[in-house]
Amino acid sequence: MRATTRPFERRLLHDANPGTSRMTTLLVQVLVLVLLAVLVGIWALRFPYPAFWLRGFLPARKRWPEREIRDWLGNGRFHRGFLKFFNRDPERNPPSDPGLLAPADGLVTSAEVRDGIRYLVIALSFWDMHVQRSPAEGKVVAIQLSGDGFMDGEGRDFAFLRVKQCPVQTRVVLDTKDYGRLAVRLITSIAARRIEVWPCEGDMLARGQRLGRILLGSTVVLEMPEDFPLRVEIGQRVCAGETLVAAGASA
Amino acid sequence: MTPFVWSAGHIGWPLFGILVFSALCLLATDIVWRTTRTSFRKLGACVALAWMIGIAMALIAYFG
Repeated sequence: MRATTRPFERRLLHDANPGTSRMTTLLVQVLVLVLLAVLVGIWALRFPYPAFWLRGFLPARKRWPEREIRDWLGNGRFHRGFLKFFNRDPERNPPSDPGLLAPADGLVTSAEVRDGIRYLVIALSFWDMHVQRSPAEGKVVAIQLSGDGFMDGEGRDFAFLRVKQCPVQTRVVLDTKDYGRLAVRLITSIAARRIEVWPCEGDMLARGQRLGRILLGSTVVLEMPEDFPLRVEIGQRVCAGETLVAAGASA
Repeated sequence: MTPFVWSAGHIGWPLFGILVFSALCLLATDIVWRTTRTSFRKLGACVALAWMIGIAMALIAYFG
């Protein structure tokens, strides 16, 4: 049986449907515009730093720009994602080739020689992995702490070599069977001043084993005999526990 | 009120389109600026051109 509608009901239906449709269209338009306004507003407030929805698409250096990290160093409020990224500790596979491994991720900035010792300076950026590794198998014979005073900027250059007051640092001395006496200096910045060294004096370290961590630090220096031929150049990026930085004297 | 701004009980489609397109242009420019090494002037010129073409298309669709 076919349903019949009264005239006023037909009029109501005729009027109601377009009205509902218009209202839905307006609602959707307003929602879209409000969403876009919020996105643009957040973008404008965050500028020149990336908005949160953008971070996932950007490489680390652009995701957390240096200026923004320095602001965080000032106010102590770090982005949670950055801290997670900064505290990463990936596994590393030391190569089977003989030689000294890089103790840290970063950029080789100098390899000066003083009094028969070569100081291989590796500068770490905010985006480098900050866990250090042993350059060779050996025994920890000393862990020396020094430099509580003011330091030289961010410690990118080895203050020790520039006859300036040493930055906050920890020197881990290793006695190795193949390479003799080595030392790894972990140097931190004025902003952080925190260094963790995990082994104790007398502990044996495997080649490439985790040695410690600089919290928002900047420099790691590998001390080795000057006659060890270098396998890296100034300006080269090295990888802790994986890049061969020098061959032994016999190589 | 002109149908460009308001028509049939909702925001006029040309105006709506221009607003959405402009916002997306702005956000997309930011992504490109951060992810590429394009010079600021070159990027600005490209975006301005793309934006004008988009607006022109919206206007042509409406008035044409």
